[in-house]
Formats: sequence, C-alpha cells, structure tokens
Amino acid sequence: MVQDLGMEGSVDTPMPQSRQLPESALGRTLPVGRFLALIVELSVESRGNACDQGVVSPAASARSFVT
Amino acid sequence: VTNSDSLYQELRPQIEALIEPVLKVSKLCLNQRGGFLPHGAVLTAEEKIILVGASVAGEDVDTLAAPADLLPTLHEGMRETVRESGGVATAVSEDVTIHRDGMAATRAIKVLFEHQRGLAVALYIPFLKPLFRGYQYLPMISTVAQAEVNAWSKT
Repeated sequence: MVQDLGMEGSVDTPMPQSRQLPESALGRTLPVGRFLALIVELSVESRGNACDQGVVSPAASARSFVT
Repeated sequence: VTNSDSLYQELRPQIEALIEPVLKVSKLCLNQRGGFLPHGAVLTAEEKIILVGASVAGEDVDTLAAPADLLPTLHEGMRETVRESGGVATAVSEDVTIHRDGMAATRAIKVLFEHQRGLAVALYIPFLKPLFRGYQYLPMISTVAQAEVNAWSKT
C-alpha cells in the first residue's frame, strides 16, 4: 500500500525504469542564512524544543540538525 | 523480478520516511521565498532523521548563495553526517527544471535518495505557480539515478 505523504503523487509501487529525465539546476540565489534558519525552525518544530543540537562541520560550512 | 526491484520494494518505507521531512523544507521555502537552496537529510539505523544544510564561509542572514556553490559543500556535509551518525540513507533536494518529451519545461523538486545497500533513485515532483494562487504539485516521477553523495564509498 502506498503511504500518503501529504502530497500529490507518491513513491512508485514498481521499481522505476531506467529512463533519464533531462534536467537543469536553477541558478537562483537566495539568502542562505534565512534558508538555514528555516531548517532550524522545522527542526525545532519536530523536536519540540530548542535546536541546540545543530553542529558546524570542520569545514565550517555544513550544518546538521537532529529532528 | 530483479534484485533492484526487490531492494526497491524493501526500502520503500525508508524512502518515504526520509523524503517526507525533506519535501517539507523544500515546500515551505518555496511558499515563503519562491525557491529553495539544496538541502538534505540522513536516516540513521535507529530511524532518526537528521536535516543537513550547507552554508558559505562568513555568511550572515542576508548573504546570497547560488545552488551550484552550495551543492559540493552539502554533499561533504552529508558524508560527514553519515560517518558520525551511522547513517544508512541520504536524500538531497534540489530546485530544478525538467524537460520531458513534448512538454514545456517544468520546475520540479528533485529528491535524490541513496541507500547504503546501493540503491539510488531520483524523485521529481513537478510544480506550477498559477498567478494569484498557491503552488500546484503534480504527480511524482521517479527514475533510477546515479549516486552523487556516495556516502559509503570506500575511496
């Protein structure tokens, strides 16, 4: 049974066929700090408490948030 | 039925568990900003979800970043998170444009799912933004894909 993911469409029941879908990435720039704040906000929402679990990688550029 | 078929069926619950929070971030940012930057999540063996975001050095709240600049950093962050957490699967979401035969180019949320056991699947959720209305999401398209994060590579 396909799980309802709350969106139109769900994971295909059969294994997808080996067909390539041409794609191009958007070059749209966005404020990265505000975007990360959004991820933190969702992480906090999921955990129900302050997100003090966020870590900064040694590269000082990738952060993870436990949800 | 091939090994890939059975593996896909076996891992579907993990695929669904991991892409749901990733899509939530993507859709929320679409609604608020009209786009989103690459981001991802790691599923651990204990079924914990870890959201992962990438930044740029010296960023402040209004520093602009392009997706192409963040993606390598995000992939490295994903690999590091998998190493530290014992992750078994990763998902990376990108804002892309897809080109299907005979159809106009369409923007889509692309989620690339990779599993420790070797499965890589790309899931596309095309979307439209009618004037004066909210985002309309179309049925998901999934394809087999090449792994990009390669969090379990020995090299």
